[in-house]
Amino acid sequence: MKFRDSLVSAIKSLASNKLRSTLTMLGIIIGVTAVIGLMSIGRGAQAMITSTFEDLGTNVIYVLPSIPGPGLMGPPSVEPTLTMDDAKALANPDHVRSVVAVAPSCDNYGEVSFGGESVVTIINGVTPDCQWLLNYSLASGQFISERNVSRRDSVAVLGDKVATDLFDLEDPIGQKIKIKGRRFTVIGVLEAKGGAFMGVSEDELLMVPITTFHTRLFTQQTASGEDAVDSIMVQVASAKAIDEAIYDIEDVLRQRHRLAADDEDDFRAISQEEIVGMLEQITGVFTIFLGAIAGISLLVGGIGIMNIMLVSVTERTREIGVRKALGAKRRDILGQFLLEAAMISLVGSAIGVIGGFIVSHLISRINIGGEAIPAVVSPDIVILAISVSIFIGLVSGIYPALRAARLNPIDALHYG
Amino acid sequence: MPKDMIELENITKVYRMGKVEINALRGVTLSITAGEMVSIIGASGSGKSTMLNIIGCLDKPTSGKYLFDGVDVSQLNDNQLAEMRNKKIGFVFQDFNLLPRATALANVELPLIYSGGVHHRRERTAEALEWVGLGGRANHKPTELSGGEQQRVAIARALVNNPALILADEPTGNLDTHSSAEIMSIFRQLHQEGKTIILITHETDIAAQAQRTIRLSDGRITS
Ligand SMILES: Nc1ncnc2c1ncn2[C@@H]1O[C@H](COP(=O)(O)OP(=O)(O)OP(=O)(O)O)[C@@H](O)[C@H]1O
Ligand SMILES: [Mg+2]
Repeated sequence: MKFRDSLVSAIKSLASNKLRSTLTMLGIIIGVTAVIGLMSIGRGAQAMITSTFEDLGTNVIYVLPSIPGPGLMGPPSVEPTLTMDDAKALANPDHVRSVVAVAPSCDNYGEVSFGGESVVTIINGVTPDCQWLLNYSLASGQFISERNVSRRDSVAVLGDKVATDLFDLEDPIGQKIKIKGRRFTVIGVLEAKGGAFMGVSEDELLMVPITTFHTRLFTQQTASGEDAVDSIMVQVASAKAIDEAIYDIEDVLRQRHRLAADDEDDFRAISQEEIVGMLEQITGVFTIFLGAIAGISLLVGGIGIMNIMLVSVTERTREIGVRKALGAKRRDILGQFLLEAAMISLVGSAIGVIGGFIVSHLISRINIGGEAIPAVVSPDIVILAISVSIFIGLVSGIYPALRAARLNPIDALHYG
Repeated sequence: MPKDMIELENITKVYRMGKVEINALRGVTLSITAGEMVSIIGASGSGKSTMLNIIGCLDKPTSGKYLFDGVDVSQLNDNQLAEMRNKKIGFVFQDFNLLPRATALANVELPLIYSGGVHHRRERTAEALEWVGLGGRANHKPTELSGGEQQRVAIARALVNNPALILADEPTGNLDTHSSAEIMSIFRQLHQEGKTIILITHETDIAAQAQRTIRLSDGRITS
């Protein structure tokens, strides 16, 4: 039997029972749509996280306080261990080779008000280098200067959203706002970044000199009574210098914190690449997990095909007998039923791919916390979904097809 | 002297239904010459269909020897048997056995589909339908045809691959006298054109239209 004949015969047989064929296909359609839709969300989340980190400066090492203990992504330390002096020590090229910039920072939540308006937002204590390290550009005014830091000036730079929330269309520069009830002068407004990271908009923040943060807003001290910082960002000259720099940072901080040789570090130094790598790993696992859940519905779709094919073989036993009496070989009957199963899953997955594109498009239009997940259907997801569905279709078709092919012609003819 | 097309030697067929054994054929020996028209009669349950199915390679005997054109059929594998059914044998059944969802044309075409490398398939199919006088009904489905017409489609299907042997199991069993007469005249014409024909019937006047009548009784040939 020629392939074209088998194909025509399979199409005719599927077309002769359209409702049933469509319902059988539905299982595969839903499965493929789910696989593509969910995996594209996973990929989108991955892309979003990666791009958020790429927005930040390059070749940056994050130094964070950490109580010794297990867990890479464990909860942050309750005890602050890093100080302004630590940051100064790290800025010395004699200590850390190829260091370019060092930016200690502190953050906390607080109420900010102007006139009748008031918002609760993130308040960041920073130094001038922070601007370069985090790629902040100013919409107006200026950033916090070295002088502001050394004189502990009560000045603030506003994120775009905070500025519009408080001032609407008014020019904020030079205006007096209240942070936790204390008066600050606005000296700058950041350009809108538009992005959101983990649901927090990067425009929803306010920056003050780190020294002012400590003295006027939030006192936080280490065990030895020094002003504590929440993180120190260290930028080095090149990607190649990162490993070396991490080694130096650990060396300097261990000495400064007077840790004995067998004490564990009371801080963590992680490169941006490592963080991105970790997050990509997490979102990668998340993507596979979503895909696997969707894969279950594909499996159920396959069981649907097998079920319908078994019914169909039983119903068409006489037809099989007639075909065999007229000279159909086992492989002809096997091929006919396998082809029907393959067609159901092929057409089903084609429609499912379209469905997946639609779902992923709809999802990328839903706004979550300021930004939509840029769900993208990539070719590998489509190929994966189609091949899994055809594989499942064929596997579920094989048993019924074999049953049909093995029928004895005379028994099949006399059936029913 | 014309040679034997079919030689059955001491053929038996036993059906086992649990502990009960049914001896459908109890040693049948029979020769049919190429070009003969033979009718088989006998009481219901005497083994007529069983014998015809074995001759038609649809079923295998429990014991005995069956030569078709001198070839020992028991030595053939599944594919070779399918090929025999496809190229050398045409079947006509009492209840037509047409595919209900396919048109007359598609039904007649089936043997050609299973026969590799056939040229002019459509033409040969149309020709066969024309020959049984149904050229105008090519696109009708079986439900849109009378019993006699359905049986003529089945005959066209049996003929389309030009087999030497036509087997018919009570081909007029479901038809009125008028349609029966039409079908029988087709068989007679096929016989005149040189086909070997074996047909089962319950009616003596139909059996009488064959050159030879074989009587079966309880799995044995009595005359
Ligand atoms: N598949 C089967 N399983 C068990 N017994 C069978 C089977 N086919 C036929 N038989 C039995 O074998 C015997 C012969 O059956 P067969 O069909 O050959 O009779 P027949 O002469 O064609 O009868 P009828 O004129 O009613 O068609 C019967 O007793 C029948 O019940
Ligand atoms: Mg019978």
